[in-house]
Amino acid sequence: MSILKDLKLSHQKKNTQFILIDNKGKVLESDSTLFKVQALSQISDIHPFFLSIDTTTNNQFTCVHLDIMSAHLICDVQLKQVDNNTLIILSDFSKHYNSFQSLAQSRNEGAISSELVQLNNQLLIEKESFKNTFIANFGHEIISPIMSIMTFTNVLSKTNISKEQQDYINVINNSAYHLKAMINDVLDLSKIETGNLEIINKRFSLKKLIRAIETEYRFRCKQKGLSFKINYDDYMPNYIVSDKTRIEQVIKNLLDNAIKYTEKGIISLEILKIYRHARNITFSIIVKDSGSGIDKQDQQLIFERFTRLENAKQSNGVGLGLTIVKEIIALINGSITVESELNKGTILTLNIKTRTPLNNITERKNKVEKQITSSNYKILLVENNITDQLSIFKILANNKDFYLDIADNGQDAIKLVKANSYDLLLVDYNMPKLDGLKTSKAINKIDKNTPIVLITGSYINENLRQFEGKYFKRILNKPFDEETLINSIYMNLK
Amino acid sequence: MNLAKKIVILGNFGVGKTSLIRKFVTDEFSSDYKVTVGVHVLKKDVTINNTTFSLILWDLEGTDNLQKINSAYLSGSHAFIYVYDLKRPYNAIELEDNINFLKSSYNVEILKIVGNKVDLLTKEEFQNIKNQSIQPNFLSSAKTGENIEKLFREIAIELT
Repeated sequence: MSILKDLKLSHQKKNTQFILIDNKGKVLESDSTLFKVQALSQISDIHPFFLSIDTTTNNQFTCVHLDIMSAHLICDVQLKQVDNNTLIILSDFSKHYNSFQSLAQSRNEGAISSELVQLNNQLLIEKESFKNTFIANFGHEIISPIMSIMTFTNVLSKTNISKEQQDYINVINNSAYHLKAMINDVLDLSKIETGNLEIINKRFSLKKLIRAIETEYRFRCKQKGLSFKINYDDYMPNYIVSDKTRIEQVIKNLLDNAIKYTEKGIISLEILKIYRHARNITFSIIVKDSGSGIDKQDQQLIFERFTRLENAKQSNGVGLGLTIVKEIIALINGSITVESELNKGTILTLNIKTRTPLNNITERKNKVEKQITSSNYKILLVENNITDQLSIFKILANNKDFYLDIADNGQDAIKLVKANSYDLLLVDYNMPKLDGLKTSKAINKIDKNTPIVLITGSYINENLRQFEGKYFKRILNKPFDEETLINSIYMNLK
Repeated sequence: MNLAKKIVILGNFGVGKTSLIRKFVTDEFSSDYKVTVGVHVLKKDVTINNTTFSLILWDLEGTDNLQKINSAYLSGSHAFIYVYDLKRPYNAIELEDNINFLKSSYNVEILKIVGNKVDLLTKEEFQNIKNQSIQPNFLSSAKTGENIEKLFREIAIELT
C-alpha cells in the first residue's frame, strides 16, 4: 500500500463514520469513529436531523451541527443508496467549521455595525434636512411681517407724533432690525450647512462697494459717537472678480461687530494690496476697532457658532455673525485672523485670493454718472401679497418722484407692460403660477430695456443669483427699509 | 402518518433566527450574537387537538441572498419562516425579493414572514411598517417571547 493511501485511510478512520440503514431507517451496521450507535436502533432517534430528511435518496448536506450524546460535531453528511439500503457517511469537520465560525462572526458583526452606522447617518441627514427646510420656510414666512413692521414704523415716524411716540417707534424699529439680522444669520448658516450658499464670481468695482459701505457706516458710527476711518490702498485695482454680495456681507458683518463692541474711539476699514502678479491678486480687508477686545484664550472661540463671550453678553444677537464670516471666507478662497487685546481693541484681517478682470478698466470714462432728476418715474409693482403691496406703496407715496402701478400677478404685469412704458419694474419672486423669474423672462421678451428689480425672501435668492444681470438687474431681499428700496430704484432706473 | 414536520427558518444574518428558535424550544434568550454556520436542527413537540406533532426546526445560517442556500437544506420542507430585523430597514428592502424567490422556487405549503425585535421599535418605526409593500404575518420578539408560541402553533395548526 502506498504512503498516500495509508495517510488517507488513517485520516478517514479518525474523522469519518459509516452507518448503514435499511429503507425503514433501521441501523444495520455502524462503526464508532465519532459516536456509538446501537444496531437495530432507528436513525431518527439519534438526532432530529435524520427525522426530517429523506434517507431513501442520494443526498448531501454540508455543515450540519449534530449534538449526539456528549459530542458536539459539525459534519458533512452524505447519503448513498447501496442495494436497497442507505449508507450514511458522516465526515467530521468541526475544527474547520469552528475556525470559519469565528471568521464569519467578525464579518457579520462588521457588516451589521456598518449597516447601523449607515442607518444612523441617514437618520441624521434626514433630521438635518428637516431642520433646514423648517428654517428656510419659517424664515421666509417671517420676513414679510418684519418688512411690514419696518415700513409702517417708518411711515408712522413721518406723521405728526410726539417725541415720546418717536422713541417708542425707534425701539420697535431697532427690534425689527435685530430680528431681521438674526433671521438672516440663521438662514445663511443653514444655507452653508446644506451647501446651498452659492458663490458667484463676477467682475465688480470693489472701490465703489467700499464707497457705498463708507456712506452707510460713517452715519452709523456717528450715531454711536464713534469716528470712522477708511483707507483704500492706491495699489489696489478698482475692479476684481469675486462674489460682491458675499464680500459686502462679510465686511458689513465685521463692521457691525466692531460697532457693537466699541463704546468710544474709532472704527477703521482698510483695503490693502498684498500681492499682485498678472491677474492674480491677494488683498486684505482689515477692520480695526478700539472696543472691548478679546482675551487671547477666547480668540478662536469667536468663530464658533452660537458663541458670545462673557464681556459681550449684554449685546444682541445669537452669536452666528463671525461663524458665517469664517464659512463664507473659506468659500471665497480666503482666510481670517484675529489680533486683540482686552480693553484695547480688535483687528480682524481677511486675506482674499482672487483675480482681476481681463479688461480691468479702472474707470469707465465714457460712463455718465446717473443724474437723479425730480421728474416722475413710472414704476410697476408686481406683487400678490396685499400687505407688501401696501408697504411699498406707502414708501413710494412718501416720495414724490414716483408714480406707482400695481399688478397682482405675472399675467397682469405682462399686459400692463405691453400697454404702458415703465421706468422700472419691482417684481416679487414668490407668486403663484407665474413666479417672478418667469414673469421677468416673459417681460424681457416684450421689452428688454425696462429694468427689473426682483424682490425675494432671502433664502431663495441663491438659486436666482445666476440670472442677475440677465433677466433682471438686481435682487432686493425682503425685508428692506425705505432707504434700501429707494436706492435700489434710483440705481436701476431706465 | 408522519407527524414530523420540517420547518426551515431563514433570513439575513443577525436578525434573530437562532434566538427565536431557542426561545420557542428552551425558553431561553441571550442578547449575545453568535453567528450560525451551516444548520442547527432542533425538535419540539406540540400538541394540537390531542395529536402531538414533532416540529423539526432547521435554523439556517443567515444570508442576504437566499439563492446561495444549499437547496438540500430547503427541500422537503413543510413550512418556511422568513425572519427579518425590524430595526434594520435594509432587511425590509430585500424582503420582497426574497419572498418572491421562495414562492417561485419552492412549492412549500406555508410561508410565514416574521418581523423580529419588535420590543426595540419606536412608535414611528412601528407606523412605518404599514408602508412596506409586503406585510409581516407576525411581529415577534425573541427577548420578550412576544408572538413566538403563537407563530409556531399557527403553523402547526395549518399543517394538520
